[in-house]
Amino acid sequence: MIFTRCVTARTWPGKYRLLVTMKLAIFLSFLLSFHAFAESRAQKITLNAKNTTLRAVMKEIQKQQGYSFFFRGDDIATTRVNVTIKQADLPQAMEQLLAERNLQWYVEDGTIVIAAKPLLLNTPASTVQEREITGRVTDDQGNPLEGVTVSAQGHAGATKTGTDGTYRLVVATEGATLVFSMIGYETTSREWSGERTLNVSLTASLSDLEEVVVIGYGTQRKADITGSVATVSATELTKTPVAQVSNMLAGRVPGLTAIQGSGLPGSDASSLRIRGFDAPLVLVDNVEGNMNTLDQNEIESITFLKDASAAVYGSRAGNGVILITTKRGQQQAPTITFSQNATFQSVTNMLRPTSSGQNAELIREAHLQAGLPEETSRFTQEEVDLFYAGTNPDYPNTNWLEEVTRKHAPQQQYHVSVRGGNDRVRYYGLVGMLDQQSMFKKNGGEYTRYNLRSNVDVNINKDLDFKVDLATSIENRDFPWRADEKENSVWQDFWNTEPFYPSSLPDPTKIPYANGGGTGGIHIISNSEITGYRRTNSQNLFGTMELNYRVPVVEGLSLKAFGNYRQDYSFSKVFERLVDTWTYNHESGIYTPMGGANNPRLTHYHSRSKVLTGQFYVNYNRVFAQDHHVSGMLLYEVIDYASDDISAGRDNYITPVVDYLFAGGVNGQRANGGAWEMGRLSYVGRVNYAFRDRYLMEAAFRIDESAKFSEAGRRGFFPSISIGWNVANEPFFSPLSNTVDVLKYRASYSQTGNDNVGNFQYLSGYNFGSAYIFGDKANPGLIETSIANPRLTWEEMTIYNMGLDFRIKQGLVYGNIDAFYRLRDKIPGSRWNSLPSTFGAALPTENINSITNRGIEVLVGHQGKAAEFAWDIAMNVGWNRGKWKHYDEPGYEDEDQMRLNRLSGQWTDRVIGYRADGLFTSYDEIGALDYIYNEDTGNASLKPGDIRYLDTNGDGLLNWRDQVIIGNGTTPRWTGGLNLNFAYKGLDLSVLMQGAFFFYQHIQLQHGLVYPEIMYTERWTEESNRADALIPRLGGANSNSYISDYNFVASDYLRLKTVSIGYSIDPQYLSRVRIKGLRVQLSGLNLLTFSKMNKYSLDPEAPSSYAGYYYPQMKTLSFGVNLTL
Amino acid sequence: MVLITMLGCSKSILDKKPLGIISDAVVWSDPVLIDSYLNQCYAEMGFYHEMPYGANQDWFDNVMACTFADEAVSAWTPNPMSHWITVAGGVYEYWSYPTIRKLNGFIEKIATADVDDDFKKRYLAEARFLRAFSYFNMVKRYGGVPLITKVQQLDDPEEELYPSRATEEVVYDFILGELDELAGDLPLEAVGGNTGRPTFYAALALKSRAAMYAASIAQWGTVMLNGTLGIDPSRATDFWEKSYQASQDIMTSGKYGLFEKYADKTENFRKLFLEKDHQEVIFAEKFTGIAGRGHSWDMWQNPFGYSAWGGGQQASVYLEMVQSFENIDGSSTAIQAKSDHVYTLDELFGKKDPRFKASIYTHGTPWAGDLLDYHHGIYTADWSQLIEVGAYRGVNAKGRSYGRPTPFGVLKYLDESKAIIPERYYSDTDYLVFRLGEIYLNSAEAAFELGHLDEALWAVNEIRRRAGLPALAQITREAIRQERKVELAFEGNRYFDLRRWRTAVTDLSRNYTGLLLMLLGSEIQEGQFDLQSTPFVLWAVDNIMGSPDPVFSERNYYLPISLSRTSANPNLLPENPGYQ
Repeated sequence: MIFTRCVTARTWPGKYRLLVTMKLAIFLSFLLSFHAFAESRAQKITLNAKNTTLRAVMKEIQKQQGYSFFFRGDDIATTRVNVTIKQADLPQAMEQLLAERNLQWYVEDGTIVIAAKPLLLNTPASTVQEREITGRVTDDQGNPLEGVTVSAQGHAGATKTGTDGTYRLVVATEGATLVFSMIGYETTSREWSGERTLNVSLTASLSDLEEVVVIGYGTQRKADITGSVATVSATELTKTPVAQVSNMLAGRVPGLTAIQGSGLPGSDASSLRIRGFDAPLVLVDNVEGNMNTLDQNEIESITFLKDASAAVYGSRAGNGVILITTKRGQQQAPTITFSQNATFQSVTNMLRPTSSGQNAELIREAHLQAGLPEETSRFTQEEVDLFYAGTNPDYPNTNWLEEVTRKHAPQQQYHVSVRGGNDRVRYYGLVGMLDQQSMFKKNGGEYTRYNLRSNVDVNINKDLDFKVDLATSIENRDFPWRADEKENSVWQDFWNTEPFYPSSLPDPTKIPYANGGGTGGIHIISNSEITGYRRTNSQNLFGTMELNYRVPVVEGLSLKAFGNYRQDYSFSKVFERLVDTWTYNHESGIYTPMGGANNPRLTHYHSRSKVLTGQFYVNYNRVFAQDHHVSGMLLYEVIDYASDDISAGRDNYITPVVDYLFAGGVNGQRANGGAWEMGRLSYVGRVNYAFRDRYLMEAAFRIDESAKFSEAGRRGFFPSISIGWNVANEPFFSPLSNTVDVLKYRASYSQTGNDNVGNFQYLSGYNFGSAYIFGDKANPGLIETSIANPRLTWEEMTIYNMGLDFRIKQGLVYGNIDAFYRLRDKIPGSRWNSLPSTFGAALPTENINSITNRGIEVLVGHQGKAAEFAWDIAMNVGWNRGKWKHYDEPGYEDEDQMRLNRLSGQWTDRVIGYRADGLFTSYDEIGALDYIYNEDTGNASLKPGDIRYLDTNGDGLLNWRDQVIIGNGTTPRWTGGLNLNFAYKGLDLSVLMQGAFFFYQHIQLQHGLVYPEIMYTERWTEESNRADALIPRLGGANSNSYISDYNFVASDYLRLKTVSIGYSIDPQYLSRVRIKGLRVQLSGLNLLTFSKMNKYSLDPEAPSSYAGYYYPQMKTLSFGVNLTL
Repeated sequence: MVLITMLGCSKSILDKKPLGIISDAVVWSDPVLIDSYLNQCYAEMGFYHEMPYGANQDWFDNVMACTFADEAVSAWTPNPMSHWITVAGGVYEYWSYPTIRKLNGFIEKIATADVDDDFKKRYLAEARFLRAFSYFNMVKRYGGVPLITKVQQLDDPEEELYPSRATEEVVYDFILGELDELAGDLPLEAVGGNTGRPTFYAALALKSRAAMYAASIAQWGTVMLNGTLGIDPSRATDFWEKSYQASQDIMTSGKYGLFEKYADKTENFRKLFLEKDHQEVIFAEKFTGIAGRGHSWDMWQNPFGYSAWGGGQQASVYLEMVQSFENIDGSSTAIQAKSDHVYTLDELFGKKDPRFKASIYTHGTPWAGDLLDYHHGIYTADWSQLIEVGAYRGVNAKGRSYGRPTPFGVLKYLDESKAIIPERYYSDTDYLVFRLGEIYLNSAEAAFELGHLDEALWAVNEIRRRAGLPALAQITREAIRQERKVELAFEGNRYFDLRRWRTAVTDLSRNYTGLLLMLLGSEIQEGQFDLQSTPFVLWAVDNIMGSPDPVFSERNYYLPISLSRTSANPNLLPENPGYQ
């Protein structure tokens, strides 16, 4: 993704042109003219030059032949030649031209390169002592670099490295300095003191200025970017193996909120929000897609478009856009990479259940404290003591968490990829495999994924490029049927599985009952062998073809056609059954059946969806008069969506052994199906202008039409404009130019949309609803969809962004600052709130609400190098907050309703609740209250240990009017990351600290019959009588469950998100065994968490109110090997 | 080539339609689809214990109706649900304007539908019946509610879109007037594929009940908020008359008779609720147990341990309710709790009203080929020790009572052929919305209040005769209410009866009693345990609702309109008194 300054001044060599990619395009219809054009190549060259510079001559050849050219080395271009060529083909002409000039030529990527002739090895010995040096040039990953120019300073000789990166050079004197140079890498000099071998590794020249980043429908030099764009590169994405790529993003991008709400294999992706907005549009290689089905190794970069830079996506761009770019071939010797990772997943933090003694004690305590009669208590004190004693086999203590889960759930990841190519064909291929197992021990489920990719680039000729990509991912989710990704019911079952029951019975064929909320227990429900399964196989197929044609007659003009076909299949098979369970009385020897035999039932779900994307580009890119860089794009895009699904099922399987449809009972067969279609059509235009790399301007528009909306409202126009000023490039800035590398101001304005509303709301009609029976026949009901709203359209977003990029002294300090303001208007809502409930209809969705968002993002970094020690430290923070500008709601007349419920004009993250003031510790305190909790019973139900709420309005009655704002919402207002990278020789260390602040979580610890241990240890008791106990009196007043600042608490955290330590073995030790690189890596995810949630045994990313009631987040430890051949 | 095709078809890219929506025009010309439209309204009615949108026939609607009143305690909270009613809204809501809108739409569109006139007439009457029923379900909760009889449009005048509440009296008059008008358009009977559809007599039955409620409000209620709540006492007689007349018309029609198919009184009363379409059924919500039309009564009310998913005995009947069932000789047995009086099953339950054995299961009730075992402990043979842990003489110390506070479950409507229930929505018993037994009792109550004491006595005695109880010699208001309590137990009437009688403040502001059974170990042979004959002692358990005692306040006679509704439409204010 690099090209150098000398390149920008000229026609771009093809290799880099391709990497820059997608700039130049072609319509298929031009295929016809292509044929005629190909012949023109074979034209003969005729020219006559007298004392003309080589540059001028080559320009003439370019005119006649179409080849662009490149001079590698000083003074070549200005060499004067005298030559007369008549009707010669290219080799003849070049031969003639360069004869006796000690220059050589060759074609590289369709470009004629003219360079100094290397000194030949067999040059006869001269009087000067000559020595031969050999060596190998690699990149910092140990990959051999081909085509590196190796020269000795002050000597005429030069050579280039071969495909294996080796070179040989004959140098006249010791004490020379060897210079290694290649476009895209920092030129490196080495003192030579006579040794035979000199190996060198080159560092990619990641100068901020020259970096090229992927933007909407193209790429752009980072230096030219005027919008708020952030990029995460491949190296960052592979620091730690993760099943879902989105889990590598938290903390890496300013303004990105990534919340991982679950650790369930296959469903543990983070939900991403850019700037606190709703879900962004995600594109994989230009097409709507899902980053989480990709293998992290196949991704080249992830780009976040946060402001006007996203506007080319029009009606879908309002929440920002994430662009995923996969890896492509490079012109290099075939490089095979193999990696293997073994990962151990373990729970970050989760509630643990109480022992049987503790739980029995708490059940009894809650019962008695609720004032319920001792006789109806489930356990007598004697039984509680028996559970604690653990001596009576009828009073066991089973730790079901330990019975059914393992400490470390394994995860494995393999990938093999091949990358290579020559000047005509470049390829990248990958096979990836992931296996992520569940924390449940026995048949508890796993997620496996296979990824395949083949990205191929072909230069058909100098003007026509062809690209074909094929990729697929196959995902298998195989889980016990209640433990699948959509339900938390397995956790409900877990918390209902009581420690009072043994994990096995004397008769091993009988499954012990452990309640489990009617399922028998977690030992059954987490084991697909017993309870049945839910197996989902999904596959997506992804095929792209692209033709890119540079129109030869118009410099800078190119045409591109892009087509993608994407098909997603999902096939689920759900087999559910419960088994008979038993209790056993050791004293009487009696087995008692506890029910539970379910009706075995099998259901299939099959769905497929397809998306066809076509894009047709006209691109233009040219520099006029050296100072004016103009580029532009016109795009026509169509997207066609369709999906259908079918489901079928049967009940009453007589045997669970034959789990196919045909074996089910005939009565009560079920079948269903449906279909859906949608389409989009868009026109996009974009113009970029840069003057002397100082003044930058980008203007773009998009016209979107979507079948979602009625014809009247389906067309939208989305303009954007952004400007930039590279202050550091100003002549007046030159005194500082050695200090400040980059100083750029940016500003942008755009109008975009969000069309994430239901389809076809402009039409109304009827669907089938509930059935009702007359006679003995169930007759379907018809339900009206809703009132139609033909005027429904997308949300309109107006985003303003101001930014500053800076880089001082080669990275001594670098960073950027962005500030934004967004007006999100026409948010679809239903006027359900403001219209009386007596209206009776589901009101149509209308564009009625609006929100304003504002925020800032700062990234500051520092990088440096001392001897072989290199470091890069970067910190980013983002702050954002939204406010309802207008929310459709009743015109509240009651002051308290206005204060509490009215949203218009209020921050979106307000949460209201009661204000608590600790727990009562004596009846005196309760008696002294000058207000009552309940208008019927007064404070009769209050006892010490209950929460003391404040009568904030002092009206003597505690009710909803006493609520106040008690905190912020459940989405963080501040997010940030601290990225530390160190490298010393082959050793590298990377650490990412990530945090999120100013967000809250509703703590609800109990989700079933079994109390979590934290409730035992932290509860209020008569003995401790602590006003600040975390858990109020068990069995306490109903008021204890009010939402209040007692249970709605700040969830801020700082997390050691990733750590990776890697060691790359010096390639020179490996070359003998034909290995280009070998790297070993130890890494981890979510290793340490600092949060107030720790005191509740909770992960701070736990979904609010769901403590212990979801598959917990995992911390992982991985060991990996990466081998390059 | 794909690309070229796409270019060519760009017009059709946007030419997309929702697949699977049926258009308005198609619906209103097809009798089958018109029928389907009304089916949806039927499904939303939730006759099944009157929960709105009751199509899911699940947890609350099964359990709540009997745990609201003084009948039973819910297994998942000892609190009576009325505690949860606050101005923010509460439980047991029925704000059915979405259904009413559908019905209003139906009533407007059927007029011009392309179907024959007989069809129109009948379906129009059915829709009006459902609308009247909906309003009845609302008025008995909230008092006066807005009376909306047309499909509102967004551009309707503000006074229509933001309606005020009609008075309670106007709503009742509307319901009764509608029933008078529409009843004649309904058929006299619904047979074959039409069973389950309302008939002329279903409309009368609704009238019988609604007018009785209106009369009760007029007689015992208080007029408040300018008549939005309460009915002028002068109307009481009029409403009683209407109810009485409607009941009489049904009773004398010759179409119906009390169910007396089986000689055994207990069996007869059980089968009354299990058999379908018999002579006592006036209007029923039908279930087949398949295709989404099963309910979950068996799932939740089966004896514990006989249902999957931890269902079972979700309602435990209070000892007081059990005691309401008199003995077959008209006496009643006071339970001597925590004494050393030794009971046998026969002594305790042997002489009870057959309706007790048909309505409540308990220790010794046959179930799934076994007898239900509710013993809580065993006294050692020498009475020295109560064994509650482990076993005694080879018998488990505890039966299968599972911590339910009373050993009584609701047997009414339970289908023992589904003794073990694999999952929800499997029950196929019909829910009897109106049965002749209730009409007899409605008639008795109205007759009594109108002073026709003989007729009241006759009607109550008919019910007692059918039940197998001796006739009463004279009639009192208390006797009628007592009969209603046991005859209609767990059918969803009790809570609303207590409200309309305005006795809930005293009847429901109290705690209730549970019961424990302790077997006599001396009667147990080693490993031999005859549940039928093993005697036991009883422990009454006081205050099983915990403390403090539940309170039913004066204000709870009406549910609150609730905050969200009044704030969206201030014309609904003032809120029902007492809610703030």
